[in-house]
Amino acid sequence: MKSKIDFEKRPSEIELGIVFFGLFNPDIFSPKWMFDNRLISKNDLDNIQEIEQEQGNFRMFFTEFLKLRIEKDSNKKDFVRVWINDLKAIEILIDFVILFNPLIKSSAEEILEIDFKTHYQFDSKNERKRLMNKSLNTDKLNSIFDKPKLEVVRIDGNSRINGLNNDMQLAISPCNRPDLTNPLHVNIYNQLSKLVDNINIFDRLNEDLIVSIVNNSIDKINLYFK
Amino acid sequence: MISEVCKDKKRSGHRSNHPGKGGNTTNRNSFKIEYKLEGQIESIDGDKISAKMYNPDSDQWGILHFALNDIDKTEHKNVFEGSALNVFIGKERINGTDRKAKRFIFRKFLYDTKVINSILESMYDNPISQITTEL
Repeated sequence: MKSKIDFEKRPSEIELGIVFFGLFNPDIFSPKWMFDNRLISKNDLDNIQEIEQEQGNFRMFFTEFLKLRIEKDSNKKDFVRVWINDLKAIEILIDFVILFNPLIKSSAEEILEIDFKTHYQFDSKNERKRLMNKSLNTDKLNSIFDKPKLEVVRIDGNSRINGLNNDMQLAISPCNRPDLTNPLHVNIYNQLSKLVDNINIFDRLNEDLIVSIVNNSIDKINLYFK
Repeated sequence: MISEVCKDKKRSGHRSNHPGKGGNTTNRNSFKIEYKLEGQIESIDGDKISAKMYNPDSDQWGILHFALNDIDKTEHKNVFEGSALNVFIGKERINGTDRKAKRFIFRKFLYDTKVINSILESMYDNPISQITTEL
């Protein structure tokens, strides 16, 4: 495992997710199906937490380390999202998606999303506002209102990684979760697509790619806090 | 006023901006990782197993001794010299009570490589000409 970059400022919660898009039937992707395909262990199967299910529409269940959500979409962009809440479990996520990949690739679009979501907490709303307003640094925008307050930041970027196109987005917005202190979302979305027709995106999905994207995402979050 | 807030945790899709609890705040059987070790099995003597493990937090290597019984029975097929594993040390919560626990999780992907290697070794041991002769 390549070493991961450390956070400059440590988030209170993280979520690392990998999303497959395509035509998926949530009823097929049961915990039993996952076990039969060696994606989860017998212990996982026996202790599965079925969070919710609506036949034909969506399904969500958790193992001790992995969380899965399969959802039908009216725009025919169904998705399977698998995620972890602790970066220490990254190898479990990686092994899952590498084994899952060949099982679903015939139904999947050649797009992958690797999202990295965080919650940061602040002692006061003012402290959070000061950080957000650092991005409001043009005189033109600053002069529109008295006491302006930046509410949402969205920055899109693009890079290439391992022969793939990576459309990135940094998304920052306050959160209203009552169990956290003045929380702020700082999220990075990485949408991977192929650069040329003669490659298959699923053939490029490996441990190095995922770890590189995680490192790059942490690096971008660090840049925001610098 | 534009304001993004955490959406309904249960119904939010993949682009929900909500990290963290992911729709569940009352895990019946949750495991909180305190630290993990990464490594591979060095030797197996009966049910005694020795593994060379690395602690990424302290950047230290060490030998971990454990018993086959520590590993979930369905994972026993993954126990062989050279197999890669992670050991998670932390706390499990069962029926609201926390207790120390550990989990031995074998790298599935590398296990597949091992299977492929064993198939290849078998092919080298039984070359095509020998098989065709037997046929």
